[in-house]
Amino acid sequence: MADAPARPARQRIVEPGEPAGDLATRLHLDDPALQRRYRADLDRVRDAELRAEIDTEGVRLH
Amino acid sequence: MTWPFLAWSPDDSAGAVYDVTVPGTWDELVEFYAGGAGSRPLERIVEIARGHGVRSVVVEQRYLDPDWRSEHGAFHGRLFRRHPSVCHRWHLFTDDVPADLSELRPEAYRGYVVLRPLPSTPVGRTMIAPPAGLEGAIRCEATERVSLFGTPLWITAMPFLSQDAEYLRCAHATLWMVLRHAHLAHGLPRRLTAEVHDAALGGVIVGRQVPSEGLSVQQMLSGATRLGLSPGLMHLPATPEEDAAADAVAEPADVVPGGRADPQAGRLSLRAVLCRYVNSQLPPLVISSSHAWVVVAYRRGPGDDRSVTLWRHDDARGPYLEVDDPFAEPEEAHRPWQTAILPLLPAIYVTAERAEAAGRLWFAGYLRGAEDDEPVARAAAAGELTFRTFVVRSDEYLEGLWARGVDPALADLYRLAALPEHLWVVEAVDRAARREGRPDVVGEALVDATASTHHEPLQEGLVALHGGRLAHRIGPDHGTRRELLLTDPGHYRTGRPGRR
Repeated sequence: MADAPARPARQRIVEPGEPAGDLATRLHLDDPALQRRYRADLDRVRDAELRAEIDTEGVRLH
Repeated sequence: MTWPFLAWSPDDSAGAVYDVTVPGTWDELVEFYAGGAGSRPLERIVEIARGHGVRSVVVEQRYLDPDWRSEHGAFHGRLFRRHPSVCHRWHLFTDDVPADLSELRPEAYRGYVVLRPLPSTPVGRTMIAPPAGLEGAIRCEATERVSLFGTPLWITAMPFLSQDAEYLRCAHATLWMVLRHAHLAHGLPRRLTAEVHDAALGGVIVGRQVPSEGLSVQQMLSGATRLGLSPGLMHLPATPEEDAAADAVAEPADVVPGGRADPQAGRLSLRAVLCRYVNSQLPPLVISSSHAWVVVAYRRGPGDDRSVTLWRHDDARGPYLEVDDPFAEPEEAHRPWQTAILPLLPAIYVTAERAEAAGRLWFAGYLRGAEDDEPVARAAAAGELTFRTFVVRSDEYLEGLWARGVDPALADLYRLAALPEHLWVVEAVDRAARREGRPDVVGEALVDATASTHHEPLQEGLVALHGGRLAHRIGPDHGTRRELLLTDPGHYRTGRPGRR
């Protein structure tokens, strides 16, 4: 197999900031109270979507 | 009645100019085009034009309107009684236009109205500048270039169209308005009225589809999907009590050191849901049990930022109509505000409500470790922290950073990030600053609009977070994380698309 072509020389951009660890861990997002509230939020959204599907059954728009 | 061909086109002149400062001229125009039957949309348009101080109406007398031509080919041209295939188009100017049309000043232009040869339902495609009452409001709108007798003109507005009660009903008209806006604002293909009609055909419904006896919601959703949107559906509270409960906290929020409560649960009140999509330049459709309309603007009360006034385009009543109270509508057709159809673009998988829930979670975590003097912590401690959510193209978002007063180091963190095409932005807002009309953003969570909503807890979708002193960015492929410490975090302006 032929050698892969050499990568052209590239100059990396200067990245802002510093390397960092996991943000979720740092912000303690695994806290059960936060997780519970978040899941409740998503459940309320899903409930509103499901209710809309039921509400609109048989509606005729004119 | 139908228009006799030669009466509709009285001569071969390409245009005519009406001096509407002459008493009775507006009334005569309305009488002529509405065929004596009256037209609420046309009367509303004239009311707005009068409010703008329009002095001249230039009428293109043989305007070839692609929408009307499409309807004409599909329906009106197939009737035994004949309808002309050409329209008229009014152009509204706030100055005196000379009869030779030698000077058409773009700065005096307030928009156009296509008039169909359909007495009682004459209003076709319309772009009219919003009335003065909407100054300072958050509006869905787009800019269109118009060419009139060799002069380029520009109009920024939310497209409007009335139904004709036979081929197009309210559901078609509202869908067309949203699609026309999406064409001008988001680059979706142009969709003509007949395409909208055809896309919404099918399904099992009682009654005829042509002439149309109205659309079911399923037909609307199907039509919207076929024409390039990916609509969502959301229940709206029907009473003030249900509305208040929709904003209530599901369980008591914890209070962390410093007296800062966790952000409240996601708000699902009528105004909270609708404002997120107006913020995003995705005009939400609202339906009652028999009618549909488009919410096109909102404005917070100057003294009470929790009070929100809404405006709508109602195809049977006209453009830019202020809503006094969604829970006390005077007309039965508007009762109740039952469901919102959310005209999301196909590349936006995450809905506003889910994006906001994720953003609130990240800020809840951030606030637990924030220092007391950070703006987001101060706003939370004062009970003044709220959230503003919108979706935006990431290139537009980046290009707007400099004008918003974002810290240059933070702007660099965002600017040199690999970003998806669209971002959900959940801004942490200092309500006190908002009331005073000052820059009010104290932090923001940027969420990938194509993120999976099944990942826990949308963590894969967080692209960047600015809480205050700390900003964080996450790379998409290698998960590279970079952190930035800002020495003096302050307030900056919103990145909401459209007028700021």
